[in-house]
Amino acid sequence: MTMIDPRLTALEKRWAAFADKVRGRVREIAGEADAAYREVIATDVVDGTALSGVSSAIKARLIALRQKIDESWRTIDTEYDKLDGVDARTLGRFRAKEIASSRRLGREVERATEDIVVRGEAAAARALHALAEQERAVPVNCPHCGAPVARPPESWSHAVNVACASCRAIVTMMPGTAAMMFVRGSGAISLAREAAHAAWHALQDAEDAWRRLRKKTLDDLARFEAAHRAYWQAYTDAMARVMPSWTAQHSADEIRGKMSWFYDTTGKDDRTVRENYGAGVAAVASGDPARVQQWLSVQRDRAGAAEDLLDAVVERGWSDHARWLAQVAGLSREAVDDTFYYFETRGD
Amino acid sequence: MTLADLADELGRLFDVALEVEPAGGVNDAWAKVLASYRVAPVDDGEREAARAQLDLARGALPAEVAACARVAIGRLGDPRMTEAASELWRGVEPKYLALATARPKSMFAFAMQTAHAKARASWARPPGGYVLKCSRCGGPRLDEQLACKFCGKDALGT
Repeated sequence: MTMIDPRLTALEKRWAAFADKVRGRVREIAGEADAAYREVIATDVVDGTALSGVSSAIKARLIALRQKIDESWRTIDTEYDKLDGVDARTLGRFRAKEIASSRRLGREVERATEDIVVRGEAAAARALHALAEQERAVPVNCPHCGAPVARPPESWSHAVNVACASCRAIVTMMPGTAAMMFVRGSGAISLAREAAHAAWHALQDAEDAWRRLRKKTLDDLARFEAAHRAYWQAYTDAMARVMPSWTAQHSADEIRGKMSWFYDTTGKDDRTVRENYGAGVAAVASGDPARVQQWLSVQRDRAGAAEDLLDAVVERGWSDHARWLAQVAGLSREAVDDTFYYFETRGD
Repeated sequence: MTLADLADELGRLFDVALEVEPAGGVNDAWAKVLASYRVAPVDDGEREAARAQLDLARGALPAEVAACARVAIGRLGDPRMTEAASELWRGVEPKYLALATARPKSMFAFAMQTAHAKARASWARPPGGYVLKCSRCGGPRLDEQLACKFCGKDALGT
């Protein structure tokens, strides 16, 4: 069993202690934030200014905390540079593990921020919705003759023209402020964001996975696209539940609109290259040497393509396939070791 | 002992007193200070009452700090000096209370101020309606057309 240099474990402990302090601070901020949201909701939930003030304060505080993580990591990282006499690869692997840990902590704080804000704003939205529901029951009389005017359901949230049954005057019905703030402001959106929160985290994970990959395939693209679509589907499904006027067409338009940038940029980029890597990765996954050889034979630079394919296999965590590919493609053991080391020490 | 020495001593007294947690309690350092001045700690019942009344954020009870300060002032001996020191203490005592009750401004202070100001409360209104009327004859709008059905004016207006 290899003994880890005590200086490395000391740095690891130092970082772990800092991470615990950060988590403790996040919990404190979450507690203060929940109380602040409750107070704002109890005081004035219709005016969204104070609500967004609470959310902004939380974001500012937690952004500062994330900066503190980066600063503290840089301080510790310089300590790694000062270590003498530690095997370079051991040091590289250890440091990469800690870089990954610092990034995870940053993401943890980012998610905690979102959790707090989404939860608080959704609570406010529910309170706003309750007021809006009360407004639904408020009778409206014709401003011309004073007779009661039947309110169509859509007048709850939208301006609607209705003919007075008594005097035939066209009454333009206006919703109450709470309903307008719920529908036109951020109320419904906050509930939709809450409902789609798990899908949002899945999308973040998919985006991380997408960005980490050096050799992307069309299958990777399809997974990334599916995560986007799942998020916007969850979001629009929730909008349909809380917005009386929301239709299936609204959902389709919203999803198409929100994903248009994806189809115009990421979805179009490098499709040929991705298709090619996809074929190579599929050949490796098949375990058929002939398919791998066939794939290599159609590449412009066979040696370079073999190394690229090795990258693609290693970064997917297919260690056994990587060694098998090296044998099939005639790559040296050193090249395989270097590739493994590279991906182990990227720090993500 | 000069007044300057006394001011230094009071400064040190404040430093130890303000470190006391929980607020209004007695920690080891403060117990030593009380003993050094031969000041008896406030009894528990009075301590609880004072804590509730003063809403301290930190620090020893002001009554205990004042008792220690009076002992320090008494050590001056010279009655004129004692009077000047008492005057000094009268100015300093409220500052101790201010420091002991100060709380850091909440990160939500601005949001809370906004919420409680209810600056836009006057905007809130229940559902309602209006009828466009002819600015010439006062007749109401009767259909999607904006021309007045009563006097023939081509566009209704309020």
